[in-house]
Amino acid sequence: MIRFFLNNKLIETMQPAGLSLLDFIRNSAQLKGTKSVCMEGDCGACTVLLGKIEAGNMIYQSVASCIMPLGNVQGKHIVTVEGISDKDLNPVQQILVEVGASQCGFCTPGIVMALTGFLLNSKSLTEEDARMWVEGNICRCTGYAGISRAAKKVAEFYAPRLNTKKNRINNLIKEKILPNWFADVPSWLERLSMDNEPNAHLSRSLPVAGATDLYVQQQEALQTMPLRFLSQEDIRSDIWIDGDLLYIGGRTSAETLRNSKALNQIFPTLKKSMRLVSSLLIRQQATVAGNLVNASPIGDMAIILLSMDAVLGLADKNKIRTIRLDDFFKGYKKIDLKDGEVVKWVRMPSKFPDTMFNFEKVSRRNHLDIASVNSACRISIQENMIKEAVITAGGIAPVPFLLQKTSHRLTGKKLNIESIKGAAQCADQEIKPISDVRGTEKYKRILLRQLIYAHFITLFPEHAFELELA
Amino acid sequence: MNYLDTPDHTRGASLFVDDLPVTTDCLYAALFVSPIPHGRIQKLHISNAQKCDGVVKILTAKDIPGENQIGNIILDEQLFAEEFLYFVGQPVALVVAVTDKQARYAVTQIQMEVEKIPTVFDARKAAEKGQLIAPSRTLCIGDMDSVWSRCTTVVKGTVESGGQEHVYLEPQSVVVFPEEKQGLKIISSTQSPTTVQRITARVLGLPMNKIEVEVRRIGGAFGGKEEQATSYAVMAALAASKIQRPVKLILNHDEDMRLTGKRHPYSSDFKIGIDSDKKIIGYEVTYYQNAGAAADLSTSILERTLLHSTNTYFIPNVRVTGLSCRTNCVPNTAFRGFGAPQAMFVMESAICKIAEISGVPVWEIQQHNLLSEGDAFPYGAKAQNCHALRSFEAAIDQFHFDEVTQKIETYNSLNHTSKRGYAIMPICYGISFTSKFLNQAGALLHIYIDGSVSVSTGAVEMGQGVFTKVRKIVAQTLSIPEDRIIINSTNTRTVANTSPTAASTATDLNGMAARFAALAVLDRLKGVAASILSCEKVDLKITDGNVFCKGLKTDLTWSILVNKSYFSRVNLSAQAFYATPHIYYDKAIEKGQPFSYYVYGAAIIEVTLDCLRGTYTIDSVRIVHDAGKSLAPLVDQGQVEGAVVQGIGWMTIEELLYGENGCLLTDSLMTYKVPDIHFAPRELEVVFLDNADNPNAVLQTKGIGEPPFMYGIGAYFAIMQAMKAYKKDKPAFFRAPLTHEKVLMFLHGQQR
Ligand SMILES: Cc1cc2nc3c(=O)[nH]c(=O)nc-3n(C[C@H](O)[C@H](O)[C@H](O)COP(=O)(O)OP(=O)(O)OC[C@H]3O[C@@H](n4cnc5c(N)ncnc54)[C@H](O)[C@@H]3O)c2cc1C
Ligand code: FES
Ligand code: FES
Repeated sequence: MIRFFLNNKLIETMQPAGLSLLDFIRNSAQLKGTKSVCMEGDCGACTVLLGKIEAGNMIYQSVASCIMPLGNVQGKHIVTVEGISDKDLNPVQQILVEVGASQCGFCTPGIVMALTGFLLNSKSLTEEDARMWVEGNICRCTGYAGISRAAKKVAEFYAPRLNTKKNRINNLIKEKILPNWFADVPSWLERLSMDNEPNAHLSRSLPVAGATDLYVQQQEALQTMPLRFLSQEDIRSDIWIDGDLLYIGGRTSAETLRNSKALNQIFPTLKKSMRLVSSLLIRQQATVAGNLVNASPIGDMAIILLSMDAVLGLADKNKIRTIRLDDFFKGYKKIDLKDGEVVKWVRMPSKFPDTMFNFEKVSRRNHLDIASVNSACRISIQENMIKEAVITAGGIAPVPFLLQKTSHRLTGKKLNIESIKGAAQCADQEIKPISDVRGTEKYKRILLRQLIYAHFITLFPEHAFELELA
Repeated sequence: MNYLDTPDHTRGASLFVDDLPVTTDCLYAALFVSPIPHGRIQKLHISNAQKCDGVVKILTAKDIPGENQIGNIILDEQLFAEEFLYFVGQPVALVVAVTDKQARYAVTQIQMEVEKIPTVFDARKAAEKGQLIAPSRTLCIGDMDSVWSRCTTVVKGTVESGGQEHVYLEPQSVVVFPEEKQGLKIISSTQSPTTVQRITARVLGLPMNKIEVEVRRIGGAFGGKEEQATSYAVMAALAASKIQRPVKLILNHDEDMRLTGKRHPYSSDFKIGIDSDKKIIGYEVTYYQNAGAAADLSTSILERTLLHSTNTYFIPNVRVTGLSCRTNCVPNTAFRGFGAPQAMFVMESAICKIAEISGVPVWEIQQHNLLSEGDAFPYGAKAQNCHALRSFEAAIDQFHFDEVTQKIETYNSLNHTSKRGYAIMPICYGISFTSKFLNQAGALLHIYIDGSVSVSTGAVEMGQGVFTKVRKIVAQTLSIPEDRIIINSTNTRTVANTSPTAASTATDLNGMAARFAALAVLDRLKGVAASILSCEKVDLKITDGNVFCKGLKTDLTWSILVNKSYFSRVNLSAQAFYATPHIYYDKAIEKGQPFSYYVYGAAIIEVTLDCLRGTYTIDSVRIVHDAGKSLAPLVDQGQVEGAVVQGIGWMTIEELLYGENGCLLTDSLMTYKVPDIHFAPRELEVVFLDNADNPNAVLQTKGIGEPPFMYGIGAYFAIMQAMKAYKKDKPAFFRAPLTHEKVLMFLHGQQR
């Protein structure tokens, strides 16, 4: 039985753990405010909030309910638009109405939930943050002008009123954005957790993390498969340093990766680069490990981590073995992972002295899109010589690809135009792109060359390489 | 000043078709469709599917009691394929089961043996083979024989514009309830309740009065539910009628993307010439429209293309020819702009090309050739109340065009890997259905004894705010607060023989009908007031719910007056009708006045190009738009904002890709990219043209849904300009959408 709170009601259901939360909300709970459109995380119409207690605090995130299995909701608080709506509009709803942020209304409940999530969870309440919280929501009617006005107004109005993250929930209750019963939710959840059933440990069952990949690919089939919900297991979801090593927990989300101080110290543009990965809605739900195990040749985090010498810790019931990420990818969607094994963590050196990183990604649409080609670069320079270079790229091979020959070729070379051009030529020999919906083979070849140029132009502005390369 | 429906939208309380409560006996339907683009059905095996859990019935062409024909303008489309298959996604059978999942599973158990037939996907190839939906049409004005010799520069070129998926968020949805005496109640997400009613009647062999069609609201449509909601409604109706249980049919989003028609791709050849005064004196185009496998609305759409071929310019010598070509693609359909965007893209491409060759800046050619009062369009009508120049100049002035160009030139000279570009996009769009008979509407208004008012019209609310506007019109006409008025669901029982909610005419037609209804009742009420107050009707005025006599407030309020009228046995209901006057068109000579009036405007678009990566950002769009005298400025602003971003999407990132077998590859939001909040211009400013009252529509307003879509065309030319700032000597090309791939190939394609 799965037990969770839906708005202010306790749900105890025998529905399959693989059923999508959206299906449950609309068809079992008969709450019709949450809309169903793409069923694959790409539109945000189904956005709801998921609350849980973490380190003693009640934390909310927005989730795409269409690709969230019920099994991941066990013991959580789910908030739909009905949960925050009363006869009178709350101030967020009022703002949306006033500035013309809604036309046909099909996307609107999702926008309301995304902005509520923003107020509940965003540490900083700038206009830019508010826009980021609705970046996963597609609207075909308004051209986003009204939605942008609403995001701005909500941020400007509430930034001074909710200046600390402390007591956010109580303050939002005071502001009449949340109903009073929100204050009681932590105690409800605590009671729930006491008599939770432990996750059945089926060694043959399929691990489910954020489900943002699984539920896009095979939602129907998953309803009847034995599933292993990692959210119920003892796998960390944070990033920590132990001696010379930095660890990313096996349940760490893409957004946690993006915001990691330790990682941003190593890779200062990571926070910005990771904005190009899906949308905040999905980044909160998707895990880093899921991105690696899914082994999609254009996985962004796979490409980034490949450039960072990442090693995986794979655990089964008894032991943990390690494997280099590069060795983990064995062929198109083939990986070195045995039945019953899960990624417990990903680790890498905690320091890369005198090393620079850069990430590039080009897709059809700059945000919330899969790359046509992406690439990461790690490079260390000494006296204008390339001490070490590692270039990885996606979309140009059956796996997230470490450009070994190219990286090799660069290492030990002078940092100049010839080396860069030579590297690009070498890369062209090393890759095997195919034509598909993300671009023709020819395009991907030229694009990778340009992205290799972009690495050097971006990392070494003082050399003004662009004058000769572009 | 706000939308009527939005408060409920934000509470998640607005019900769409799939949200409506249904009884437990409701069945669910799913479609089995053609997997091939052209062929012949040899055998259809449904017995395995019939045995699946939950399956109640599988319907095919054999089950149709009436005609197997859903064509509207041209009768060339079957509801279910009988023998021949003409496109991938053509419906063959409908599975009805107890649950949606069961229906969908059973569909996978149907097998079909087919014989393949050679296919044509390309419009020009279809034309070569003589596969036309209807004979070609040509509009001509002036003297095309001598004009070219009078030009100082003449250029020719080819222009391609791609299709566009509507991406309304609510998929095609319908639920049908069987009623007594063979009757059916259809609740559909259609823009055209009467079309659904009429075609259902035809297919089921029933009189129209047995069929009630209701639409409360639609979750976006943009033309995609004008014609193409019909087949799904008819199928569900057929099932409900056969099984005598409610039947629901909701497409999945990806299914919707594969099965339904899109904006028509066009391929066109143009020839344009200017004289020494930079006047465009000759313009010739042949448009090849890819209609898909059936007519749908293609011929009307092509007609609008021809009528908008010269956009907002006066060109004395014009010959434009349009061919609607039958191919093995999904039948294409209405989409905001209805053929005019394709025409305007060709016009602007021709100007861009001749500017490139002659060295005259684009904006100068544009400005030199704008329509003036009294100038004739190629179909003979003369521009009246023309705001072409006024809106163009207003845009240049208010948005400091000189500074914009200066700033961009400086930027480009200082930056090597980043270039900026701009374009002005002026528009002129004719309002009225080009099929004259459609320009009619009815309304039914009741005032209840308590003074509250209910209004029904033929207009469908799909987010464009027509209910908001109709309510305003009635409130202003009766001079009572808006909250005393409700607008009812659109229903063929209350208002019959409705035209589709389309062509930006919904408020013009239905708003005027509602106003007439309100005026009729108001006149009767004034009669009652006159006798109560012993004065003349002409001296009476109702303002804010109070009755004034010769400017003095009386004790009579709206509520009392209504109540007294009732007891005086005065009719408090009115049905009214409006037909747009003064429009006509003679197809034999291709001359006439097909439009009641025109909408003008001009946009300035600025973009930034990343020349290293071949990507772009739309920085700003600033628009002066002629909205007449806006009745609901926030609604109108929203229409402009939404339309222009949709137009930009069409020109840039929205690309439909097909496999060799005609299957749509970009059939989800994961692969078909529409603008998101970051892609939309960060600055989007809309200013309404002042002094633009429109005597030809209700309360001096203008239709607004479609025209602003075409401002988006400017994005193409702004990006192209930035591309050319980087590659000075390379000729521009005109193949929309201008994807990142096309940009990069232009910038870096050859060099190795
Ligand atoms: C709308 C949308 C946009 C997206 N955009 C991007 C993008 O821009 N860039 C990008 O790279 N990806 C993108 N993705 C893909 C996807 O989100 C990522 O690959 C994501 O990181 C997968 O993580 P998850 O936790 O959701 O994985 P899940 O779906 O839960 O699992 C994926 C696979 O990994 C396995 N798995 C998960 N965790 C573990 C573990 N700890 N141990 C062993 N096996 C495990 C599962 O069994 C499954 O096979 C997008 C997805 C969506 C829906
Ligand atoms: S339905 Fe589109 S994100 Fe869930
Ligand atoms: S209001 Fe229609 S999709 Fe956003």
